[in-house]
Amino acid sequence: MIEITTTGGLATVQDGGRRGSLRYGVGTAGAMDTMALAAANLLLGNEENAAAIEIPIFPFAVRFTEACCFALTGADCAAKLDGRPLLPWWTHRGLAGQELVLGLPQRASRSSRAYLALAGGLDVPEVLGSRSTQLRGAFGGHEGRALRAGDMLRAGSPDCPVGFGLTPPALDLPLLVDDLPAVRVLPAAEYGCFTEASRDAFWANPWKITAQSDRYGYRLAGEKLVFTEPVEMLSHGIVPGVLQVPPGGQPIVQMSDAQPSGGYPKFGTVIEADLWRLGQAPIGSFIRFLKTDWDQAVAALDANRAWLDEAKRLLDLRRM
Amino acid sequence: MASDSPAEQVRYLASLLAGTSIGLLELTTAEGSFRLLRDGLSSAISPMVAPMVAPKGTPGGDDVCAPTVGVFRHAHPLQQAPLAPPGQQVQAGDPLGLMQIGSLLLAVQAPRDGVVDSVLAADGAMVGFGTPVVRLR
Repeated sequence: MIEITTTGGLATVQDGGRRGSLRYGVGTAGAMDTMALAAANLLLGNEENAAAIEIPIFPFAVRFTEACCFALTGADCAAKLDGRPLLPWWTHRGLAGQELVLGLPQRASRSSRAYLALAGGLDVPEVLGSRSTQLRGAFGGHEGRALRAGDMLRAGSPDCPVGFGLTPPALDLPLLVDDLPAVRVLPAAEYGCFTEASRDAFWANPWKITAQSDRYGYRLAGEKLVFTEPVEMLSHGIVPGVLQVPPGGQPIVQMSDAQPSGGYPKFGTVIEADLWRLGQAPIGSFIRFLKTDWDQAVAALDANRAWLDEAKRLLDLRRM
Repeated sequence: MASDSPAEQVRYLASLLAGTSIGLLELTTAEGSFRLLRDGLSSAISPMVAPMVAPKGTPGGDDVCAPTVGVFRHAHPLQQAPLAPPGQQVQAGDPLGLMQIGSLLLAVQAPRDGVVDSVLAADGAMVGFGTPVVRLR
């Protein structure tokens, strides 16, 4: 077991997401950085999408009530175990009574969320096929809410081999434009409803992640997207990644906790294979958008899969 | 851990080799040499010579050796600061450097408490199993 001793709020239990329930109006939730979640689980020999703790606000600390193996991925938060520095993207063993403290994300990692996974995955009940916290519906995860100091969480298994790590996929699969993190976007249904000048500006300029950005969606600030004529639409189904444009012309990208429907015109969709990159973009940072097509979007998913498969192969050899 | 005995280390190297198109792996040190041959498409591995033993410490210091074949890293890829610059006090088990094999990272651990005397292998250098990479005093 681990006990949460310090949390700035909004740390939640997340797994690979609650897939297949959008038809009931239930959003997917799930980790904002699914590559970091999968890497943490692979490091421990867990099922790839097992539940872990997603931490967006620091400091965050837990105390081990018994020996427990864990992995840290996502933002490098200068983690310490009883004051001794720990390597990021690495597997470690905590002993009964030891405290693990995660500090502020280090600037070099250009990331905002850390993942703490435990051997065997976090043992919380499955709801609709997932252990992810659904904040809007107040179910899933740990009691359907963000973690608080004093919460106790159980690991699925007590022990596993530790002492190795992985290079972060952001370094192995880099995507930068003018030294800014980039994500690829498919033009969406209402792309043609915007002026050519604002369409060109969208691809050519950086966009700021504003303070009104969270697990539900990222509100971006940049050169205003101008409609050629007013567009009014009925609410329709949307998914994480959809980039909507409210009348003000400043877009919103739907993220993991997106509601399953919306009515704003859709300029584009951040491809599924790049949502993890956006999920790590810190508030106040700038990103770039790259126009892509269906074939490149599928190839990007294949590249992510290949990275995970190769990591699993190397880790399995290590554990023999 | 996979690298505790020479026999297990050979098995580990052989399994790494099986996943590649490399036909021959040969390591030579003052202590002897070691060859792993891959037998065509069958992936059979033939150890030719007894596995080498990591060199012993030199007088006046202890050389810490690479626990595997790979690329030696002075720092974690997310961090600028080297893990163990000369003069740094270290405790047994502390990482002195990292070995990178593809996306896998392994630590070169301090075998005892001590002070880093010098880092023997260059950052980014491809080193063999048993290559001295850090000297402690």
